[in-house]
Formats: sequence, structure tokens, C-alpha cells
Amino acid sequence: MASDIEEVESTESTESAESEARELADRLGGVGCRRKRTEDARFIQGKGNYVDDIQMPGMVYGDFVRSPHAHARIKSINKDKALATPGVHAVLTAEDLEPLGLHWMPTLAGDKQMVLADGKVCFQNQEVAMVIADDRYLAADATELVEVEYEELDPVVDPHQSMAEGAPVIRDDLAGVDEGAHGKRIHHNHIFTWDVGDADATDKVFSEAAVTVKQDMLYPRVHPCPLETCGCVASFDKVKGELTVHLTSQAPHVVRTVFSTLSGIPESKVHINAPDIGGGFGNKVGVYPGYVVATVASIVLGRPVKWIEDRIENLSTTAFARDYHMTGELAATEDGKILGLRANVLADHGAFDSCADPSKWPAGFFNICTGSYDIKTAYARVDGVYTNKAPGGVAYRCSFRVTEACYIIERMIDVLAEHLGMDKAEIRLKNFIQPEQFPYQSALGWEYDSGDYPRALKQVMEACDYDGLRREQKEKRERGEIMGIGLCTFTEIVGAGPSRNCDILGVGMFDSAEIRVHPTGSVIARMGTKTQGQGHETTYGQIIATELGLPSENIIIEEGNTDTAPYGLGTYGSRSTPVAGAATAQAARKIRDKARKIAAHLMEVSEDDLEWSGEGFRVKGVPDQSTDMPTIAWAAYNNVPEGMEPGLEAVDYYDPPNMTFPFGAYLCVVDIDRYTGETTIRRFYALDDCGTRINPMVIEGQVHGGLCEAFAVAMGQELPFDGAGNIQGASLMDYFLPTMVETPRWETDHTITPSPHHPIGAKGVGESSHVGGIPCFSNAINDAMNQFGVSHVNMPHNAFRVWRTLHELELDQRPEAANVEPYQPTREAAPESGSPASVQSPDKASGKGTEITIERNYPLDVPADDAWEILQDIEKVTACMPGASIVEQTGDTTYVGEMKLKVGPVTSAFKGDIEVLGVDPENKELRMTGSGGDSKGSSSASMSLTARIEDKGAGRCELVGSTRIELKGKLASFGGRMLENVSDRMLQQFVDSFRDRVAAGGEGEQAEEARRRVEEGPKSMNALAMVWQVIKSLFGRK
Amino acid sequence: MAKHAITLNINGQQMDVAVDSRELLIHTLRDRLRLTGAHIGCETSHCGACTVDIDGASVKSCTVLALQAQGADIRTVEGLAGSEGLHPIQEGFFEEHGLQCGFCTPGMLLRAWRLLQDNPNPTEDEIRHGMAGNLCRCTGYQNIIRAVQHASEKMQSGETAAAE
Ligand code: FES
Ligand code: FES
Repeated sequence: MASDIEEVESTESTESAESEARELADRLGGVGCRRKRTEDARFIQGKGNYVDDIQMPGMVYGDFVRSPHAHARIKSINKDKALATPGVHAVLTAEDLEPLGLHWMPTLAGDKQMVLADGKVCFQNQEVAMVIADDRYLAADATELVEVEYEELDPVVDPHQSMAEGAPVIRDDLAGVDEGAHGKRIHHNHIFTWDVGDADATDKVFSEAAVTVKQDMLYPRVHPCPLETCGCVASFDKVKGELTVHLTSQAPHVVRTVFSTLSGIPESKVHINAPDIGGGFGNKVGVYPGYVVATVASIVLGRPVKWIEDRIENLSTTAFARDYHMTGELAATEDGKILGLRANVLADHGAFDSCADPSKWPAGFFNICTGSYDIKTAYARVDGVYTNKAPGGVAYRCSFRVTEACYIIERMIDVLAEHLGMDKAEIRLKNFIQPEQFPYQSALGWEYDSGDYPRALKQVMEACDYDGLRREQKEKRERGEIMGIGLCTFTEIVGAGPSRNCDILGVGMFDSAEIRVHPTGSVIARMGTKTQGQGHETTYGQIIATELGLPSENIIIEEGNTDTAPYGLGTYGSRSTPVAGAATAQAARKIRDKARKIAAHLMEVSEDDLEWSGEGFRVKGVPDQSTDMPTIAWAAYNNVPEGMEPGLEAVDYYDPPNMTFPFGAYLCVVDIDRYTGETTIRRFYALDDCGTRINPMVIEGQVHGGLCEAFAVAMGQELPFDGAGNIQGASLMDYFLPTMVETPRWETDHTITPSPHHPIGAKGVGESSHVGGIPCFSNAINDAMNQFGVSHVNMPHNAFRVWRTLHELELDQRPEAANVEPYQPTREAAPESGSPASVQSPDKASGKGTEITIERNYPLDVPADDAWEILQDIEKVTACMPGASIVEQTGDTTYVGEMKLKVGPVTSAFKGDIEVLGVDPENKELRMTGSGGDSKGSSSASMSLTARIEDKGAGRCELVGSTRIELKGKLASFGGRMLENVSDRMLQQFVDSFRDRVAAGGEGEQAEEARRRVEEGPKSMNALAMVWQVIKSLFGRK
Repeated sequence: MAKHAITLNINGQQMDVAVDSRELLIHTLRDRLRLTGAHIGCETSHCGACTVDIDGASVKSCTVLALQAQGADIRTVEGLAGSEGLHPIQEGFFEEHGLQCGFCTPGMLLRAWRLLQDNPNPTEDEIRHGMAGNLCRCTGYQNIIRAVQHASEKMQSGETAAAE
């Protein structure tokens, strides 16, 4: 009994200490309280200062001429017309940058990248020239006037074909270079091979294991797509020789170093300012051609130059993420104890290796792929290759390649469980690294700092009644309903990083804080990181408030201006709290050390007699005798002990001893409509452990945001390419950003396992929920499919793809369908047409562009013979096409045709060869082919057409047409939906005119009408013009 | 290019401005009138960052020519707070942590403002559907919904107080 009482007492006293600390934190706005954000005041009143908000006297605008082709040689660039346009100041090409040595630039990954196309283009939308003009409209207009002649080359689109024998050479500049930044190159499209772990030991484990599983999986190419695109305002002061660049950068200090190195301007005369940033998520780490060219333009013109990406440019050129083609293998015992892991990855890096990883880590921290599990033997290998796609490979809301690593292990453990018929929670609990094993040395080289994985998972299972869910799933399955339960128990690795193994371009990945306490006790502090919505101005203030016992409302935090802030490596990879947060605490502690000396001096006691009270110092055992921080701050400026410098400030550059390892356990429940593939996220429960929690409100916000982005990636995001390297759907029309309607509700929870090596025990949380959320969603969908014997389906799990899987499994057959008359869909726009156009992205290896196949039947109220007569007349048929005409007949069956699309002042002319392959009077059938391109060389198309007249009797017939169109270049990149629409409308107009032509041959009032309309020509130009305008506005800024 | 003189009534203030015939309203607001609260996230009517209120309706100002707005009553985020301080919608976003990077926020606020005029007491579902034209990449939406609910409550209690 006695011991019981004691325990109660001690709990009580800890409880009272805790509540005292909480009360103090609330009063000061310190660590642990739900402090409202200081940055909000300006944002909710429209007073944020984002880069596009910046205006300067004399400022001009830059806009890019971009490549329509994925791979082509540039034969010539003619800027004359553009330069002759009033309001245009300059057109810069690689040739102009070359004398400055700026036509290429180094990448963070040890490769180099063209700033402007140097002799060839290597991906669609690559920057070819920049036009500088008085305003953004004029600049956009003038880009259309720059004439570039291309010679198309075969592209490499499929990374699996990249290293094939005879594969096209993407990087001519690397000819003969067989040593890359990360070791030997064995093929002209090979970038690096990076491996880690014991290959032989792993082979041995696999050959001896009772159970092995293997699974291929694709992590598709996606894009971080922050709401604000990238951009800059560069301003060169000729008089002072100083360069100021305001730009959207998550890492402004590194940008300064790069700019200084590139330009030769001393770093002290380069001022980089990252203003408010509208989200980054990895998109804003790199240095992009736009920044460099705008800067050169400003130096050349002596005026400020603004360059702001539009959304299509953002999605198609700056910073894709992922594109990992992975094969995972696990070896295990029969009862599910994992013995070994093998991971092989083919990494598509695009045309230049501009991955944003610490320099020595070409595959980032992919070797965290053993996850939360005690796997003794492992081997991972990543091969990076070039393809004709945009460069990038950034960490999209994750630490470097951790999302990919987490996906492979979390999918594989489910694959193994399924193979063994084991429960997916049970297999995790069986293989977890146990709390007592920390610090834990992983087989692939990391030392995990702390964790308690079983507790986290059990807490989630209990909160969601996991067993109940499994029972429900079984019952539903029996009723024919499809439900999936996804689990993910991830471990992240963040806070890069110790400078012994992490650097960027040779600069160690420390971070910094500088704190000044003013005489009246208010504080200004500056950090080397840069917030993009994470709330640094709030949370760093909380750390300082707690460390210095000063209210956070009087603490100002500044970041982003390289003139005032101490050097730091920036914000990405959840490194702000682990690194700069640590620097903040350390700098504050330096101040506190000095404050203690001043306090001792003021109170005339020895330093050793003092203890920290939370708001100042008190004499041990004499609580009344105390002094608070404002008093000490005042004294620091007028009454310091002899020999001490006045002032109260400190700087800390923190080189972390290790990474931090946040973790979590997530659970997702989905219900899938077996007939439509539509998925409802019924529940998403996220438990995160990020160590010490600085601001629970901000943490929850970060978790919600990360989960929403995880939902986007798992369920819909993808940047697909066709076989010719045309990027498909790089606009918000096709790229999936969830709205409030699709987005599920989030439930959050937490445990706290502080990091033992971080000054305040915090681990970082901004990205956990993205890293852990994606496999959780994907596991839920796959769990649903597992019930039908499918081991894995790739992301994105959009309704169409889920339906396709269900359809292949014949699960979408409604039992009652047998008795139902099939529904005949009719299209509103074209009621008489047959099956809808189908747009396909062909096999990437085919080299083909985007294909559209259209098959249509059009009833005509005229006799078959009349219709056939017109159909044979190629010139008349052509004239039915809006804007089209035959220019000349070049042979018996060959012609040169032209098609003009005119919108406002802009005329695009397609010119091409047409060949009539066959005219079959018996069947009244015509076959022809055509191919051509527009005069600017930005798009090309080829098509084959079969048209037949079918006699329907009673003076009526039907025009039966089938055509296959293949598009390359600009047009092909508009994506399927747009193309289908355009071709549908064009065909409709064609048929209308054709009908008129035939009718015009008859007699009576109707024929009269028709004749009049034929004379006018196809007047449906307007409708077409409208569609064209949509296209133009999607693509440019017209 | 010849300019056209137009008059816009923005936040209760008459503003005369000369614009190009093809100029989008968002550019007039941001570049000419220096009202940079509304942002550009896509220029294709998808993101809602440019949302302002024109003659009683939420409008994506990247899809309207400045000329079309001749004589219109326009409200932007800059005109949301009154002399008594923040508007309840602004308060809601602040209290419920309804923003992170802040880029979508002005559009969200203006859309919420119109939504609550049309439907002072929306359900969660009505908010989700009513604000689906505004994208946010940071918050995962949950706190935005709370913020709108917060504002709705506050505005209604304010009305009752005024009525009493
Ligand atoms: S900028 Fe207007 S909707 Fe996106
Ligand atoms: S707060 Fe960043 S986009 Fe909404």
C-alpha cells in the first residue's frame, strides 16, 4: 500500500510541474502552445509580398520561346521580326550567353544543364530564347515572332530503352566522358549507378530463404505544383556593380553562392531576397534557367527584369519529382520474419541531372528503404539514366527520395503479407525495430535516433477498431462490396544533415540562427532557412520564447534576405526544425549563458547559486530572490560585469550530429464502387511522432497539408508522355489538384518520442504525412484488390484505372445487366455521330506522338451518287474543311495542301503533302494520307483517312469516315480531352459543309440556301477560332 | 496600342484607369492599381487564386477582360476589413489556422464572403461544394472549412446582437 501512495504523490508532483510549464508556455507563447500565427496578419489582408507583387521603376518582362520538340537539332534562330516589334528590348539566345560562359550552368547533382538551348533541344518546352519587352503581353506576343528551325531527332522517352544499344544520344556534350560526378558511366545515356549494402550476403539470404517475393512497381513522374509558380525580379545596379535578385527560393543563400560563382560578381555584391513564397514543396530549391537569363538580361539592359512562369511552364519544365521504376524483393521465413531486402531502381532523370540532393547522394536517402523494420541484410541499387524529358528529380514534400523508399518497403511488406496469407498489421508488429534497439543501426547505413513503432501502430489499431474493420471487410466481400484497409508504418529520415556526409556544392548542410535581444527585452532573430508556409515566423519565436523567457509576441523572425540573415542551406527535406531550430535553441542558450553572468552580477551572487526560472534566474532555494530577462537585457546595455562586452546577442551555426527520424502509423479505409471504380476515402487516421511538439496547431496543419498532397499523388497525379516525348496534360485541366470536394477528412493523433540528439528533442514534421500518406492510400486500394488475387496495381489510383482493374477482373458486370437493353449514349455536340474519338498515349517505345482515332457515321439527306461525286473531288472535299485549301497538285494523286487557323492577329498555317491512295467507285470509298507541320515548326501532324458513302435507299445515304491522326509538338501537349474536343468540332464543321456541297447540286429552296452557304465558305471558322483561342490561352498569355 | 479609359468601383472607391483592350482584369488590378492581394495561380480558371467579387458574384479575374468590368462594383481582399477591424471571415482564417503560405488566401476569403452572403449558415458539405473552385496546396482544406464555419457563426451572432 505504502508504495502505491508514494507513486500517486510523485505523479501528482510531475503533473503539477507539467501544468506549470504549460501555463508558462501559454503565457510566453512558447514551445508546446497552440500559438496563432504571426505571419497571418499580412496574408489575410492581401498584404503579402510575393515575387510577382514586386514592381520597380523601369522594369521590363521576360518570356521564353520554348521547344515544341522533345529532341531536335536547332538549325537556325531568327530574331529579326521579334526585335523589330515596338516595345521589345532584347532577344537572348545561347549564342548571346556564350561569351559570358552562361549558356550552361552547373546542377546541384554535379551535372550541367543548358540555360538556353545550345545547338539542340533535349526536352519539350525547353528554353530556347528569352524575349524581353515592356510588358508581359508584348513579351508573349514577341515569342511567337522568333523563328526557330528545327531538325527533329529520335527521342528517348522510355527509360527502359535509354541504355539500349543504338539508343539516340541525348547529351552530345558528354561524348567520351566516361567518368560522371558519381562514378563510371557505361553508356552515353547512363548517369550513375549507386548501390549500398552487401550484395553477396543479400544474394545468400535470398537463395536460402523459405519464402521470397518480388514486385515491380512504378512511382510515376509527378510535380510539386505549389500554387505560386517560380519567378524572379533581377535588378543590376550598373553604378555600384551590384546585383539584387528577388526570387522564389527555398534556399536563397545557396543561390547567392551559385550566382556569384557563375557571374563573377563578388558574393558581397550579390543580394538575394526570397520574399513571401506561395508554397514550395521542393519546386523552389533549384536554380532555373529563367533566373539566370533574367539576371543576364538585367545586366545587359541595366533595367530590372521580371520573369514569372505560367502554370504550363511550371508543370512541364521546373522540377518534376519521382519517376522511379522500382523492383522490390523480400526474403522471409514462413511465419513472416523478414530476413532480407533487395531493391533495384531505374531512375528517369530527364535530359540533365538536376536532382536536388546533397552532393554525395545521387539517389538521395533512398537507403532508408528498410523502413521501420529490423531487416538484417539488405542491398539497394539505383541506376540513373537520361531521357528526353524535363530535368528535375526534386524532393516533393519529402526528404531526398525518402518517399520512394517508403513506398517500396511499405508496399513490399503488404505483398509479403498477402503472399503468406498473414494479416498486414501482424506482419508489421512482428518485424518492427523494438524500442529498446535504439539507437538502431540499419543494414543500409543509418543510425536511427529514437522510436516506438509498436506503440504507435497499436494506438491506431485501437482508435480505429482494426479488427472490426477487417471483419466488416470480410462481410462486405461476401455481399459483393469492395472495401480496402491500408496501413503504413513509416520511418522518415530528415534534417540533412551532418556536414561530414551532407553538402551542397561543397557547402556543408549546417544551418544557422542569429538572435539579438534589444535593451527593452524584445528580440529580432534571423535564420538561414526560408519559410514557404510552414510558419517559421511563429514557431522559431516559440523556441526563443521558451529558451529566453521572453514573450514571443515581441520576437520578430526574419528569413530570406541574404544580406541580413546568416548563411544557411534553406528549407526542404524537413530540415528547418531539426537544423535551424536546433541552431535557434543553441544561439538562445548562448545568450542565456551570458544572461546568467549578468544576473549574478546584478544580484551579487555567484553564477553557481543561480537556477533558470523559466523567465529569468533565481537564487537556488530562495525563490523570492530573482531577476527576469527584461531586467537582464537592460543591464546588458548599461551594467555588465567588468571585462564583459556589452550587448546581448548570439549566432549559432549548427552542424547536426545525426539526422532525425520522425515516424508514424497511418490507417486508411476505402470503399470502391465496383461498377465505376470510384473510390470513397471513408476514413484516414494519421498518428505522427515528430518528437517534441513546438506548436500542435501548426503541426496539425502541416499534417493535413501533407496528407492532401499524398492523396493527390496516390489517387491522381501523373505527368505522362507520349511516344514522341510530348508531355501530356501539363495544365491544371489534366494535372490533378484535389479540391475541397474530393479531399477526405483527416483525423490526427500523436505520440511523443523526442530525438535524443536535438537540443529540444524535435524531429521535423512538414513532410511525414506526405511520405507516409501515399503508401497508405495505395495500400488501401491494393488491399481491396488483393481480395481478388491481384498483388499490386500502380498509382495513380484514379477512378478510370481502378475501374480498368475491376473490369479486367470482370467485377464490374452487373448481374441485372443481362436483362437490360444496353444504353446508347448520344453526344450533345454531335448527335448523329457514332463512337467517340479515342485518344491514346501509345507505348513510349514506339516513338509515336499522340494518336487520335475517330470513327463516325453521318447520315446525309442526298442520293449516294451525288455524295460520291463530291467525295472523289479532292479539291472540293478539302474546301469543306474550315480554313483548308489545295495549293497545288504535284502529281497524279499528290497535292500540297494548306490549312490556316486565324485568330485575331495571329495566323498559324499548316502546310503538308496529301496523297490519295485509292479511289474505289465500286464501294464508293476514298483512302488518303496527309502529313505536314505548321510554318513555325512547332507542331506536326500526320493522318490517314478512309471515307465511304453507303447507300441507304430512298435518296439518302451515309458518310462513313474513319481517321487516325498523329500529333507531335505543341498541339500534342494539350492532352487528350482538349484534342478530342477540337477534332470533334472540326469534323462536325466538315460534315456540315460537305452536306451543303452535296445539297447545293440539287434544286429548290434548300439547294439555293446550301449554294449560298457554300459560296460563303465554311463559316464555322468562328467556332473553330473559339477552340483555337482556348488552346492559345492555355498555352500562352494571349 | 490604344488604351481605353474605364471606371471601376473597387471597395467602394471609384478608380479610373486606362487599359489595353485585351488586358485581363487580374493584371489591371495587380499591375496598374497595385492591388496585389488577388494572385495568379494558373490563368486558366482552375485555381481561384484570382477570385474577386464583381457585382454580387465571385469571379475569377484571370478570365475577365478589364473592359468587361467597366462600371462594375468590385470587392477585393483589400476591402474586406472595415474600420472596426478584421472581417469575421479574416478572423476565422486566423483563428482556425486556415492558411499556410497565404497564396490562395485572398481568393478563398472572397469566395467565402460571397458564399456566406448567399448562404449564411452552410453545412460542411455546402462549404466543400461552394468553395470547390478555389484550390489550396498547403492546408488540406480542413481548417479552411472550420474557418468558414467560424465566420458563419460569428456573423450570425453579430446579426442577432445587432437586431436585439
Ligand atoms: S489564376 Fe485565375 S483561376 Fe487560377
Ligand atoms: S495556403 Fe498555400 S495554397 Fe493555400
